[in-house]
Amino acid sequence: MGTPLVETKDLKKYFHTPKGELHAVDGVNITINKGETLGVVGESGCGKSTLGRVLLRLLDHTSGEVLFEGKNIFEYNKKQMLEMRKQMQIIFQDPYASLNPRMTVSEIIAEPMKVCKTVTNKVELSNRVSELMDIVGLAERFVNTYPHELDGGRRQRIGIARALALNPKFIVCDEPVSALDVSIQAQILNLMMDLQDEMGLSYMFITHDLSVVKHISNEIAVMYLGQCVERAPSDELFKNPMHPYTKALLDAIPVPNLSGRGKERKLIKGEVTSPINPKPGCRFAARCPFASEKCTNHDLKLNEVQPGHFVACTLFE
Amino acid sequence: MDEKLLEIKDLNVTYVTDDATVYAVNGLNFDIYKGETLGLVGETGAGKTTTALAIMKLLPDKIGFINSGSIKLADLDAPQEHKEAKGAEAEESEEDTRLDITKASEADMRLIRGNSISMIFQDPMTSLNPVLTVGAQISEVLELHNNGEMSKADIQNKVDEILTLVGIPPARKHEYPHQFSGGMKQRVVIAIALACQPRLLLADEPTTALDVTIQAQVLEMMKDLKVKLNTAMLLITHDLGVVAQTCDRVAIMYAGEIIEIGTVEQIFEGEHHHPYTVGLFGSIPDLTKATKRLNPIDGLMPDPTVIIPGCKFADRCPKCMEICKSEKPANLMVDGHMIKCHLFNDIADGTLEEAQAQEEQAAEETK
Repeated sequence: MGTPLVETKDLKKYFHTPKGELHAVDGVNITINKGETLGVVGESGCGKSTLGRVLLRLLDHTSGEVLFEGKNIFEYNKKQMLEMRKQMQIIFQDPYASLNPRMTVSEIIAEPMKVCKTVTNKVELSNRVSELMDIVGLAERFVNTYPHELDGGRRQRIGIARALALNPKFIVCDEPVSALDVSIQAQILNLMMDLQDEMGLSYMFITHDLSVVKHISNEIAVMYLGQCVERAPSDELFKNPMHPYTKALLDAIPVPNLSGRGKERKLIKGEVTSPINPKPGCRFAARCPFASEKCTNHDLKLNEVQPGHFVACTLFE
Repeated sequence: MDEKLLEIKDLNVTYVTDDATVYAVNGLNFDIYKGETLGLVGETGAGKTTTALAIMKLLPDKIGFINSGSIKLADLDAPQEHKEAKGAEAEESEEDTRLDITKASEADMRLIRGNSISMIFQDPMTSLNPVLTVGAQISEVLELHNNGEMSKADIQNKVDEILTLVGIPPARKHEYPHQFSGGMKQRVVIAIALACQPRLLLADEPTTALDVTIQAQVLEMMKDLKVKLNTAMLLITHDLGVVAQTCDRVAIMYAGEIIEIGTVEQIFEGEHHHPYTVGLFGSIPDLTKATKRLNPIDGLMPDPTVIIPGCKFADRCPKCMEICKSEKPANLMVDGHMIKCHLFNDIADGTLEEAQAQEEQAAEETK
């Protein structure tokens, strides 16, 4: 299999708050192979976006390592990092807030190439911009329009074109479709899958929508309060969820057919507890119907229960 | 047939701005029956929220106008004996006792809002007042609609009761909105909406801003409350999963028109559908099937400032015919539910208007 494209080793990111340390990402180990997609799911506040940003070194880490093609990116200096950024890009959640309202579509898409000086010739630059717009399905006539003139789906296409401008190998997609309507969402998802097939891209796909993540991912990591509680190949996770939290999460999705109607659903009670100075042990214990003494005693590690299926739960130790 | 609570006929709403006139809602027809949940589904800009605002008469002042049509609210407050006492004469004039919201005065609307009809807004974070305690915000509704019947102590007891109903410990009523999480805030908003036990609840994307696990909790709670209080609900959403789990009937809206309306069974399992409905279902990733590609609808919704002579979906429709571009489709009745599409011209059993006329006639005959 060789070295994975991206790998994290015990990655931690704590934020200082007046109340104490906020454990946003707490010892996460993930690997993403070339040409594959890792889906990261979890409720708001579980550290999904922070993980994505630390991975790209947009936020400083607290401890741990991020290996990109086997090399730790935290040891790179500024110049090396700029070189690095050509390989890894991000698509943001909100297509309304992530585009500069004072730049035209072509300026936005050309900007990464100007910053990294990959294309300096003006004619080449405008050719490359039209090429990118063609790839993501934006009509030529939008070249000189401003983002506010376009709808959400088209804006998200600009975000994707901008991320593709430098021919990256790896893209972090931070909830790229959650602000869009279902019919537009499907268009964007299809586009992203086509691009992956054509260019061999690797994605880390952050979302809270489990049905979207199943569709696009090879592997899924479920996060809860900064920790990865379960990791498995996509089909396996949906067929055989093991962690009580994953089960609850899958159970909570409203299914768009009538078979589930009137069925008593197992709901998890309560809400996410505070990530500030968490107690040792399983963080889901307070809401877990299977919680026992064992859960609060010691920190849990991901165990490989089945080949490729990792779970952090005392039920499977 | 159940009693009609709200009857919307041929409703047209426009927004007039300096640049253009936006035709937000065009010729809308639907009824809400007592105690049922009607799901209103559509994309952003389809006119779902505008419909709800029109029912509440809360369209933005000097911009939003109800141009024509009627929204009639059944006068269920009048006690049954009272009606019977009036006898046959009252039956004759029954039509007139219903209040037409489009013509109601602001004073009338103040009595209706929060009391007979109340609304839950999409974003729980912004629909609460940050400088008032949660308890004060709930008691405000009760005080406004209190006709001197309840004492202050009664009101406080009622607040405690409602908070318990939505699953918040009454002891928290002295706290401010920022001390609550998103799911809890939405429960408070629901508590405010239900305080006066309205007969109709307009829920505008009540769970869109919430996480799935919290969404499941809130939906379950709303379902329970609906049964307990016998409230009818108009649930506005774009999530077909939520619709399948909670609604009795579904209306699908596109570009200001209802293009298909029927029971959940007809919409989710029926044989005949409007091409837009088919596209909408094709766009959602199905958890149970392993499909590689989704089948989205190409293109975008038409510009609402332009009046389109034919079917509004024609440009995006995979089954578009010549007639679609020039002639507006009728509200056809197919398999017992309404579809607005030329495809069914041949197999339809008549139009919605005919069916309604027949129904009314039948009702009169039984009388």
